[in-house]
Amino acid sequence: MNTFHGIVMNKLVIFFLAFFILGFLFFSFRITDVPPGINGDEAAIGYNAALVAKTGHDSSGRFLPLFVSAFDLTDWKQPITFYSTVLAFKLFGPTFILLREVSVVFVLISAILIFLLGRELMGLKFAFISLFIFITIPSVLIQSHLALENIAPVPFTILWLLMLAKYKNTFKQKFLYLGGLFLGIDLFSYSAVRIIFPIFCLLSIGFVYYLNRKKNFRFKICSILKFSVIVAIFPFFMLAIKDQYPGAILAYNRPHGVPTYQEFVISYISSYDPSFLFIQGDSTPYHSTGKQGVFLLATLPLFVFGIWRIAQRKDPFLILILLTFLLTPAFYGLAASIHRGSRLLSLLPTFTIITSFGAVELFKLKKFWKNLAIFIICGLIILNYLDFTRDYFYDYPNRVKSEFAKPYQLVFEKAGQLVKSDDFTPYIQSDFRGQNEIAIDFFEQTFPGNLKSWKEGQAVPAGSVIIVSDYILAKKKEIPQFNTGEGFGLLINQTKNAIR
Amino acid sequence: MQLDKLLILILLIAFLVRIFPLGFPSFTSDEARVAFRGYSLATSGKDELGRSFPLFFNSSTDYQFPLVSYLTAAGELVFGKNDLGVRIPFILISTLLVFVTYKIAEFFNNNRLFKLSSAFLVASNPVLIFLSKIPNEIIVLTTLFAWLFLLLVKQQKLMIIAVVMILTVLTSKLSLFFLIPFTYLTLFKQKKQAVILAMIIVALGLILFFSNEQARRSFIENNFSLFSDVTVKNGIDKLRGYGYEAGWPKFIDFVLFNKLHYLSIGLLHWLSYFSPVLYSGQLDPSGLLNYFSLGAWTKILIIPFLLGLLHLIRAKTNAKFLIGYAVLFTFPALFNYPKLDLTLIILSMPFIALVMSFSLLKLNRLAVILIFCIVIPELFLNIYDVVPQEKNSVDLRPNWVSGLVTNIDQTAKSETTLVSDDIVSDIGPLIEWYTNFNPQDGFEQLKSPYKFTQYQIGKVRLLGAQQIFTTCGIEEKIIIYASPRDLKKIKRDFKPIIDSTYSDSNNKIRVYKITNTCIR
Repeated sequence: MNTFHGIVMNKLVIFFLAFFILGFLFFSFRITDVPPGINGDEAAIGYNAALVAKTGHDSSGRFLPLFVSAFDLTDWKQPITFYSTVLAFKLFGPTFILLREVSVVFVLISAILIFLLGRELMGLKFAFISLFIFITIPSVLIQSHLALENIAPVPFTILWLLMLAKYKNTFKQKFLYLGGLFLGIDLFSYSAVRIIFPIFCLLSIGFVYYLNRKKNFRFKICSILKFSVIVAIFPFFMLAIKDQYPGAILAYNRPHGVPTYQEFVISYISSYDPSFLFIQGDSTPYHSTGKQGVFLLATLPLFVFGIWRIAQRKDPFLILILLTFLLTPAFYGLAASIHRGSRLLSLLPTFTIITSFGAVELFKLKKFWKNLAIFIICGLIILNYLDFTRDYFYDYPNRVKSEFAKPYQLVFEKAGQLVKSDDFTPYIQSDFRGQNEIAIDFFEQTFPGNLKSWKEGQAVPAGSVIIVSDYILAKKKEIPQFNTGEGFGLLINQTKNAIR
Repeated sequence: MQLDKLLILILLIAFLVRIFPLGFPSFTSDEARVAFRGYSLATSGKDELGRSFPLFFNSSTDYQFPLVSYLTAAGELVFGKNDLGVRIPFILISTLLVFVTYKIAEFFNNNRLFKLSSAFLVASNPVLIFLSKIPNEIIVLTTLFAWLFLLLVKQQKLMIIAVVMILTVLTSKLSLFFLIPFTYLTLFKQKKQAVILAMIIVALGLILFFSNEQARRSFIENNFSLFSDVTVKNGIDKLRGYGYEAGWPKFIDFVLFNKLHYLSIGLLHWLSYFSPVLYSGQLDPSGLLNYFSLGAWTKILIIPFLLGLLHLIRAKTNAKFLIGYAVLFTFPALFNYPKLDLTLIILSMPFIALVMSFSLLKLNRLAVILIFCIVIPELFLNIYDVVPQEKNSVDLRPNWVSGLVTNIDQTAKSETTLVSDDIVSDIGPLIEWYTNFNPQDGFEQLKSPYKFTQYQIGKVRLLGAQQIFTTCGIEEKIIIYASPRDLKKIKRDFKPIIDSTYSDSNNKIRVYKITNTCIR
């Protein structure tokens, strides 16, 4: 038996390894080109992570801060994504591609965890279906290409569910502790989790209570306490450090009025608009192509069928999954968040399980109908996903070009190559930074060598490469240039004399 | 038949919340046209354009079916040309819907709470209250379909069923879309004669409809925008245009973009009708179909709805098919792309009330009371605080024009009076309704009017956007009620004398009475 278990485990490890490599290649495809330029939040995370990786201090001078301020204390970054990026930069050195690949790793870990959750719930077949459904979700690919925090809660949400599933199957108390631990860590993964966290806690308590409903009162309370005590540490810790990070924890810098009953309810129920979830997606161009929903349209029949079948069955864990899906954005009215799919990524695990359950139930139909349904739905999912990826990789970058910062990486990468290969001295036009300060700060951190300052009117030094705006390029046509066509480029003085 | 005393109370409440405040909501231009038409039919037997007892009527957006106009006429025949006369037939029909829902509930479950809560939910439904106060097809159609459901499930005589089916066809062309599937779903193969009857009536309705030249035009224009309207993003003509431009072979274009395109685009469009926000958040922010800050239901009712849905999915009864009615009634949306026709949602209200009531049976009595305690204040705050509603729909339901058109009418008795046509959209019917306008003064020689706008309303003439203004001669005396558009044009050439101004409900000046300007 142990040998069989060992063989299965070995095969799974090989499968995970292969999946990780192939997944990494797929999700990293055109990662710096799509979306086309760096987003302000990405740059803030990247710049501070590069500083912390190098010196231990962020841009505000704090030593290993728990929360990192970006944009002059007006926005704060959560530690999970930030320190994952710091770790990646520490190991491999800061680069733009690595900054975004941190999200790819989050996605791949989430995919493996969803596989494990699926296996825990209904075995290997369900696990493979869950994995397939998860990786074909459009918002998963979109988030894997953004160095943002939005994807960070997903692995922790899955881990929380996995621990509850393991508790249901084994009744081992350690899974209650671990469930509480992962849910607690989730609190530090993304700011929106703070309004989801109370709901997840209540659902967990209700679930544990239900599972132990036939036990005596003391046992029930003890089980709930084991989960609650661990999970409570995290919000209490957050409150304890509120004086150190008032902006990050209490958001005093971003006052938000008390929503009306109307606003509160609309924010919540608009999260379930089918046209938003399955056709148009997030309302911002950063997080959606505008042509696909948060979830893949072709999976809608499986999702509806899954809900229908879960409602018919009295499986407490599936009911927990359904309730989690339905209640996750219950307090989104507090943040006046309407049609912001990027803030709803905590729905991904529950959506995956519901949809996969719909697929598994489809297998139970009579042979002819089963085969027909599988053929049609699989065909539609593949077509739908191919259509989405084609649009995402090739058309979407052109559509949203104006929404993102310019692709400064082009000029920094080229200058870096010249510095390395031809030993040029690198310069940057002194007022160039004004174009997009935080993005250029980040790219400077990724640059191999120190960029010296160069002012318009000065001579172009001998053996130098200067990052300049296209205004300078137009004025210095006699000097060899590299023009990106994006409003900036390089002046390259290969001679041994300075040029006026 | 002994009626439950609580049901009588619910019916009384339903009637009272529908009748008060009587003057709200103000009529849109199209509703004012129906109201005035009712008066014209009641007094002369002719519609507002002078046609004797016509079958199809003119409208600014579509061709109108007869029942609503004749019901309005009946109301005005009894109560005269006033708000009560126009609104009372629809208030009564909507109150009848409460009773019909009670009887349908009785069919599914004889529990008193179930029956009364179903009736109460329909009585307190905001969109049904709103629509019961204006002359419109939807409230009539909703009641007729609920009644038809009752007749079908109780297997009543085919003659009565046929009469109700004919009435649905005479109310709106929408019924031509779903009369057959509705009958089939309701009976579920139990009584084939009724399905055949529905087919015959729909066929007759279609023949009647297509025998009218203008109705044919209306059908094409209003239902096939996916084919014909080049402004529609995913329209077939537009996509074919892209194909031609790209140099595709004609055959490939034909294969890719044909009538089957409805299946993909239409289905996606249909999906948007199941948005929970429409049902429990905000149905119509414009204030055309509902109180602008309410969904089709008050918000808290999403809880009993979800629980009812869960109950029905698990239940092994025919009541499970109630879920299908929301899907069925929105089915014509498939053909209506890209316009979101919210009226389709309203037809399923009585059936959704039944779904909710199933959950109320399962809930603790205290929870039921709590839910109703939340429903009532939200409803009353919205339906009796009408000022924000009027301000919100200042263009669509312009109650502020009543004073203006009275003055226009007074002026027209002694002077030549001109009125800008963009003061509000289609001001003509509002002038006819709010003044003592004699229907015969507006008769036109038109056999089959379609989207016809009257520019001469008795002595009042409407001015279009192309009108050129000039100074008046010595003997000329013309009064112009000008919109900001025309005032700007006049000011370009000379200085007008503004005698007075008229403001809308938001205190914004909308009309200038000018006394020294004439037209070329």
